[in-house]
Amino acid sequence: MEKERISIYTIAEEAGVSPATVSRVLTGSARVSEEKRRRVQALIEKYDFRPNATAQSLSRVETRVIGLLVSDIRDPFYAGIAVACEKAAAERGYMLILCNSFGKQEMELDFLEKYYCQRVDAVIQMGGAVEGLVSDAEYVDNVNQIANTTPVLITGRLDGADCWQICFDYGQSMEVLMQYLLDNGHSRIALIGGGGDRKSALDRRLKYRQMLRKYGIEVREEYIREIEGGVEDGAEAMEQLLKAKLPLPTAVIAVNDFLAVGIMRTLQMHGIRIPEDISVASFGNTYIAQTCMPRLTSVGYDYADFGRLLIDTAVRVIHGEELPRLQIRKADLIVRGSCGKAPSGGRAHGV
Amino acid sequence: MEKESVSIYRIAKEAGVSPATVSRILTGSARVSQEKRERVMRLIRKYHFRPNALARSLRSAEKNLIGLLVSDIRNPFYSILTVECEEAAYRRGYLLMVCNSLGDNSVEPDYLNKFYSQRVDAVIQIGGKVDELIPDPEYVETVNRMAERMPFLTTGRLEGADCYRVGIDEEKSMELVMEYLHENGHKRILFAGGYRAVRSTADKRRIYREKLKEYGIPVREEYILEGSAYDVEDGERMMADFLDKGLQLPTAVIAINDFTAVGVTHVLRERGIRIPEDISVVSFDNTFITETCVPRLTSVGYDYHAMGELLIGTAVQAIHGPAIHGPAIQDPAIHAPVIHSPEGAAPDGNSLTDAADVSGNAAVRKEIPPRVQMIRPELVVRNSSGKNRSD
Repeated sequence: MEKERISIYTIAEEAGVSPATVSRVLTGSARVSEEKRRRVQALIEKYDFRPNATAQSLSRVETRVIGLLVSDIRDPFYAGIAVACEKAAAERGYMLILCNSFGKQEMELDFLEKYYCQRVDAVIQMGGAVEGLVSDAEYVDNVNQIANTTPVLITGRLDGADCWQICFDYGQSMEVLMQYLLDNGHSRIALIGGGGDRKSALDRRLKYRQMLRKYGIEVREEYIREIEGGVEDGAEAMEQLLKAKLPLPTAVIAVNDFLAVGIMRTLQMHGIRIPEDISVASFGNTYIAQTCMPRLTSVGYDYADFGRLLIDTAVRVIHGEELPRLQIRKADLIVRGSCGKAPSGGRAHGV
Repeated sequence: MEKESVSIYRIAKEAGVSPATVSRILTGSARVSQEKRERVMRLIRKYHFRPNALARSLRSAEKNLIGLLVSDIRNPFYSILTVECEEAAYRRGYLLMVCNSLGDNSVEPDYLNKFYSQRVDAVIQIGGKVDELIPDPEYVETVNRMAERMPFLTTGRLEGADCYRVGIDEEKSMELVMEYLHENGHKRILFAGGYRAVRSTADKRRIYREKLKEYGIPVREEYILEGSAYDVEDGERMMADFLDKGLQLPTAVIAINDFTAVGVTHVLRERGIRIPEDISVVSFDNTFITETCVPRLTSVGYDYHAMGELLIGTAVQAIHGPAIHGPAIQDPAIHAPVIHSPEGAAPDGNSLTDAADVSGNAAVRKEIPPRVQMIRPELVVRNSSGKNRSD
């Protein structure tokens, strides 16, 4: 696209001033006479001239761009946070370069490299490598190379990496949900999902067992299905649980909204009523919870608040402020139609 | 963040060569002695030095960055398309700068200006002002001012704008739905949602009327419901309001998108109306919401992968193509739509490399990409619809 562009040189020439004067007018410097300023301003308006952000950023080493690396924006959880980040960034005059890694480490590394080459002012990584329990040493090395010049924020952990952590308290999120179910008389509580070695899954599993023990309820391994996946996997896991000829749980916890949708579908297909016969709850509180019938009780986060915290931290670190290296956000329980009191005595299943 | 970074000056100093020599090595110029090249390359590797894409882009005028303005990535229609665009861009060495207008059309000119200030290589707009039935002349002018400097692509029509269009054949989508319902014996068909001021809704309503006429079924105005959003709540509101009027029940409901359909099914189930035994429900977009709904939704879908390829392929082709001078106003009467067949793009990824090759070659040939390309829809039948069993 080779086209003539209006530059500060053409404006300077037409205004009969030096390019440096035009530059001073653009940056709002006081050292320009009123008369020259008016002449330059008139031409700027005439040509609708906007200075090149790239050229500006070369001199003041700020691109006003933040790289946002997520694992998959189609996941409503990440979409919710990404939109919140974008709103917060726009309020502060920043834009986002959004990339999806699909949890592939080689893509994450490649995107970090690309962010660096674009000279973004900060990088935020959600999901993927930062969710692991054990951090990959090579990945940490790569992050540290970027972190030498660019602040890196992560929503998980990355041991040995020079970055700022802004995390969810996964243990606390399980605690509020278990507390609610136990308070409502539930004693047979199934847990579906949350397999694998992600920190979020481990923290939740630990808290689930801990809460049962606290209430003197035996942990029954057959009520725990450590699977991963989406709607179909949830439906299948619930099907298996029904086939196992166990007493029907009084409540089922799904680790995300998609699994919960599948679980509800299987229950409804078997004529088991929600919440009269069984309560269903999940983690995430994405818009999927609203599309269910009945609507899904879910533990979630204030997306707007979390996005604001991420961007606010990034911008303050960019400008050299000292901030805590670890900030933790708590979750809230949103009770909807899919949960209620435990059925009295519990309904025997498989009879 | 004041930290020392390795520059070509530092590498030049340490290697005992001039900065220009380092630059020539970085750009792959041949005019450097083998011995100097090795010395410099060793230092580049030692410091893990990566040249500044911004500084290079000032000279080459390319940043490998495409601006993507969408309505709301929380809507799966947009998030699926965004991911497809991003993957297609990644395969071609580009990154996406994504902005959401969040349904506020008035902020869109602002975003275009921001993209311009960032000197992105091309701008793609999906949804928003480009979909207005009567284009806002001021917006068209803003777009045309941008299009003089960088390729502008949109999925909407935006008449009078100098842009490339990769659109969805909305008329064909509605035809598929009407033909399917007609074949299944439905005569009382409710059409819920959309705005009359939006081009895609206007097109669908026109086909709705035309098809009913063709089948000899009188159009009932009370069966066309104007929406106020594209979400679950709006579907619930429309369906509840309709049922409260006590009119004769339809045998089928067409919802403007999957979210609206979910709202419709909620209300029907709450009132004890069975789906699909009493009423069939059909929608548009075929997002993953169709699978989270009970019963699963029949929906008209598009080959999102092909659409992402087509959008980015066209953008990259246009970025590298010869400059187009003056407002080459698109005129649908002159530019017959090129129908892109989604059947050719199987999800196994074979077509993916084909598509990439096609655009890659075209870029080398410096061709001007077609101004209008259309994606053909297809109907995916699931449990929410069936034969008319009510009459």
